[in-house]
Amino acid sequence: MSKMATFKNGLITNNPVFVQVLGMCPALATTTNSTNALGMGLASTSVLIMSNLMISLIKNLVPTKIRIPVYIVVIASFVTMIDLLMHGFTYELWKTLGLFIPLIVVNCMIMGRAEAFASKNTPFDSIIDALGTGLGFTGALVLLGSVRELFGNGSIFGFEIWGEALNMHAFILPPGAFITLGLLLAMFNYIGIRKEKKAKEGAKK
Amino acid sequence: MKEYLKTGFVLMIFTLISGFLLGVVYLVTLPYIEKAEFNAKLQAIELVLKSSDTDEFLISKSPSSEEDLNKVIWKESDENIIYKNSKNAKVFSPAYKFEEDGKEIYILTVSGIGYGGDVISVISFLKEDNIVNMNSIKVIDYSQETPGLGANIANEDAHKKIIRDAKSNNYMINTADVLTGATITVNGVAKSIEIAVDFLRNEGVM
Repeated sequence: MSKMATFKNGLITNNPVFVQVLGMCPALATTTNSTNALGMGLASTSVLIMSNLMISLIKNLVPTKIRIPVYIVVIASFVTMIDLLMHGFTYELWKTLGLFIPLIVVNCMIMGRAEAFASKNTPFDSIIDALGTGLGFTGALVLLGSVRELFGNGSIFGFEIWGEALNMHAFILPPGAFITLGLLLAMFNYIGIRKEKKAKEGAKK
Repeated sequence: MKEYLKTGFVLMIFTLISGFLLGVVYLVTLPYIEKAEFNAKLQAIELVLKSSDTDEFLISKSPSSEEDLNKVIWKESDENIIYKNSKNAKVFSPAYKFEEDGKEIYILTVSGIGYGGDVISVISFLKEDNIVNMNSIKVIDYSQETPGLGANIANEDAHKKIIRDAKSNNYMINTADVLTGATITVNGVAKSIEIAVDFLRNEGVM
């Protein structure tokens, strides 16, 4: 795969949230507003980049039998480092995200990329893949967070759009997360299916 | 057998290396973390030193360093907790007391059980002409509360409603009015205000 294709694969074709439906715990729980979603997405992306790089570097040193525990150790270490750094330097964000930063360890997106990509490819390719997947995850989270904040609170990134005019509180509550995610999934699938159909019709002609 | 030992050894090496690296990162970030925590605490104390009616400082010089704070310690305990009740609400050490122009201001760090654990607040009481009233409160630790729901307790609006209720309604907080859908979090704050009042009564302040 070319570098561009690797990047696009993670970002759009196999988007972790909307196509693979991975990492649902943070995607549903932390997307109550766009700022939290962006913070969570960037934290996950940085862990993903570092763990992908590290795992592709050590892939020949790791016996196949214990590769999963070793990957977990690598990922958990980076998550703890991110947690400590965020605690020291971005105190407010660290406060709001709270429990969900340590939970990045069990985000199956990160484990999945380590097992499916980084353990078989060169360090450079792994970074590209991590960037694509990570940004795809961040984008999906921000989209989800923005929709929920807009309908639940009337603002995006804290900027008032329509204030109190059309607020459905349910969008900030957990059911709102499922409803928004479902609608967005349906929309992206619809776009995907229509594209496929058009491509087929084009091929017939 | 030999293979198991070998793989175990390899895993041990990996955990040792990552443990060492984590130790290094911890040591590097420790001063920054302590500074961030202390700044948050100082900001909270500064905030509750302002009158909640007029938004002006109740004393002429607010503390700006650890030394300033150490001078005004009123009650402290080695166990970190000065007072505790059956509902697991706590008053943490140290408690501060500021005195100026016949006014006494008591600042306590209190906690009550919220939705996911302790909700910690800094709370101030003003004693003027022998009448003690709650002045202000600032919730400082709500990290176990749900983002978007209970975590909204950090909003200024929620604080204002809590202070309003505590002042006008004899410390009875109308939990549903403060935050919709996060009654338990507000309840935690209400319990922490209760214990602060209890504590001051026990100490003979009010």
